[in-house]
Amino acid sequence: MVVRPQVRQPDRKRSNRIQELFKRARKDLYYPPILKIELTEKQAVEVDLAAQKHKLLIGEGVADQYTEEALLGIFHHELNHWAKHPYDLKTIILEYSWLSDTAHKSEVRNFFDDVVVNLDLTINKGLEEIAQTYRELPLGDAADRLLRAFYTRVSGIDFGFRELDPDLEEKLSALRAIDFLDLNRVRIKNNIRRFAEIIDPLIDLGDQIGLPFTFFNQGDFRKDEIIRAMEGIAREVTPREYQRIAAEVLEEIKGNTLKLPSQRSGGKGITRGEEDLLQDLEKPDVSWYRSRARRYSIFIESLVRQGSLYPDQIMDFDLDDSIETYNPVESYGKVLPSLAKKHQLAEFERYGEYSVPDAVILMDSSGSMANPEEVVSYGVLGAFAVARNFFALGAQVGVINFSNSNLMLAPSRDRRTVYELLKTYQGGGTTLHLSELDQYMESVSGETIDYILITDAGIENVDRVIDYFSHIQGRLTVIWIKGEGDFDERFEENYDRLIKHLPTSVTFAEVAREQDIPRIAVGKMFGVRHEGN
Amino acid sequence: MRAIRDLLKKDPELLKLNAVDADIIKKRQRYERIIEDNFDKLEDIAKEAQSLIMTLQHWRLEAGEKIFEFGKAITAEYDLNIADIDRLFSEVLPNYTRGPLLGFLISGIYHEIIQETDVLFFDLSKHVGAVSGFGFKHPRGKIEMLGNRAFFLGVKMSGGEVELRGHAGSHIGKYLQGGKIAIKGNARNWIGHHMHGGSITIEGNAGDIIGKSMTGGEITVKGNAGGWVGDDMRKGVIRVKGECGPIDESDVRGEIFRWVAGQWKRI
Repeated sequence: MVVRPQVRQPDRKRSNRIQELFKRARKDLYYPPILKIELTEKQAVEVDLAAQKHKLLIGEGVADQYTEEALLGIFHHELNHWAKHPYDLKTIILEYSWLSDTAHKSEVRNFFDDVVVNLDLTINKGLEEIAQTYRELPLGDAADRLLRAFYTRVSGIDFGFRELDPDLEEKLSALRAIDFLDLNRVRIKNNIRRFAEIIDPLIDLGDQIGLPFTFFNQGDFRKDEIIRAMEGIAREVTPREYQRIAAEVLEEIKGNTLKLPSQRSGGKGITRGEEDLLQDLEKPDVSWYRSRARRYSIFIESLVRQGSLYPDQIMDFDLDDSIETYNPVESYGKVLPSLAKKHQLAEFERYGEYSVPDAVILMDSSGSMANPEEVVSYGVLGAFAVARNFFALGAQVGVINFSNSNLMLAPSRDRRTVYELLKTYQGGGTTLHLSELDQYMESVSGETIDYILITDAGIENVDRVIDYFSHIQGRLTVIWIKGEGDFDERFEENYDRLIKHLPTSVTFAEVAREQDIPRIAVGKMFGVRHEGN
Repeated sequence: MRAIRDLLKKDPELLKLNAVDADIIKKRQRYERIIEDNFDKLEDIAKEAQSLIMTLQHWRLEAGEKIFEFGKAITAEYDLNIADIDRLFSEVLPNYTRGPLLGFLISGIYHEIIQETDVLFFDLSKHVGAVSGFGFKHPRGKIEMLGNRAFFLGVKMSGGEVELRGHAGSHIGKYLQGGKIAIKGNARNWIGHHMHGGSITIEGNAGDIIGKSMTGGEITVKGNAGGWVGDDMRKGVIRVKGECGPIDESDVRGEIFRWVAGQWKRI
């Protein structure tokens, strides 16, 4: 709504008045994380979501039009969105996704959040100024009338409208069946859906929304904030649900200003954050696994052992020895043969600067492995966790995705390509094509490499694979994905053969469920079989 | 700590007990009086489950797997306990669905919370249709069922016990890895298909195809069995006390026993 200023106040006086009220509102709400307020030309009140730190923007006209009490109510309302509900972008995105069958999703979500905030202010916090704000506002459409009557009925405070016609009275009864102040996640999901059934038919987009508050959507937020929110969501929902939510967010933000980059390296006029966000949302199946894998740290044994020398034991001093090692105490102050002693120096047992080699992950994506798009694949999740940890330590990661054919990627720092290939599901037979593998190995020869084989052990040419890996340079870690697909006892037999016939320097880890992933260790337990549950 | 100190410096009233205004308490009481909250999380779950079930092909095991995963997810989301599961199955779900895939759903819901000593009881007659998927990936504890319309029972089960007091349908103990399945009645076809461990005991008669492609475990049929007993079996034990269809004795790779003259005789 555009509010025309009635009386123009001198700028400084207006500014001071606004700052004082904002300070008071922050204090009333125990200092929520919106620290600043700014006067703008825009005739509305909104939170600047694109700023590094959110700040409240208030139109000069709005500041002049309302009484102090009403302005305080507006500030309480806006600040309480970030103190109470929705509190963060993750909740906003989830709320939006729960309204999948609603015609006016954005409006309903904004109205719902307003109801929660207004009730929390009046009922839980005893801050009644928001009622004055409504009293000073012109009456809006049916939804506005209904909600004002509802606030009045529930709080006992006049919100500027009481009497409803019978149709709306029925809807008010339906609203009374919703406990808006229960902000348990399950309740929010249920409440917003029930709220939508009541309010959605009343929303008339032809009518201006009768408040100076602006409605906002996901596209108004900073891109890095959206990425962070989506990461949080990935940890809580299934891959399929995540894909649906990502598609919705993508649709919302595409409606703004973004265009998809034509090349991976970043298109013109698109920032790195935007590119990352768009590619995350375009490939939600990959980003779900990547976000989930961030939970897990994988131990990778450093290859470098170096340190300073320290006195290890007392031995006889020879004349050839450095005088620095001479021990005057044990030698009774004499430098005599057979009497003089020295410190024998030894290397300190500690790891020096952390150094890991590059890694090549051999990922089994045969039909007996779980399809990562259908269910949560612990194989893919484990592979992402391993890759992420190698990347974090500055190493490059190569991939050999094997099933009907070997899909290969030389060690690279291009995380996105690595993750995409790790998640690729061929769903065919399980043959590790050794001639192709050999060519690949030749291309990386000369480098120290950690090989990580992730498989359910349903490998058709297992004997040749054992023979091949018995002779490779570099450490080998075998991660056995247990019982992900249909169980076949031959897989267990194959795994036992791998343990029996591969050199004792090979590390084995078993993953039967997600909780086993943090137990994966690369190069840690030489010759030790690590059993998952 | 510094932030908290600053906060308290700004507002020393913050920690005082009398900081809660009597007026706020009154408002809260008024709110609770006026709001007639009728939320029931189990109704919510039933609605969601039914809308998912409607999108799936009920006879496919993949559908069961999806519903099972859904069940696992909602247990955490809705903080469900064993008592909730009982009410959900017996009182709430019958208002929404006739029964398909419900066993998979319930199995998913109790999967993480069932304990070794727990015994869950389900009266299948509460649902008008057949109920599939009870005991799917059952890990521990015991489930008892009363009724005659259970199929896909104990599929991929790895431990614990599943007991049905009544007649079972087909596909009992498919991919069974461990634990015990007891049917106190008859069972139909495809018993112990691809089973690898554990035991299945049928107190009554069984239909055709018993222990096909099994690689371990034991199946006991105390009544009669149909044809294809031990077909493509590789390891494991099958015992049939009553009559059964012809068995090709030259191609028995596991152990098949018949009850002859008061004792078990290996074929």
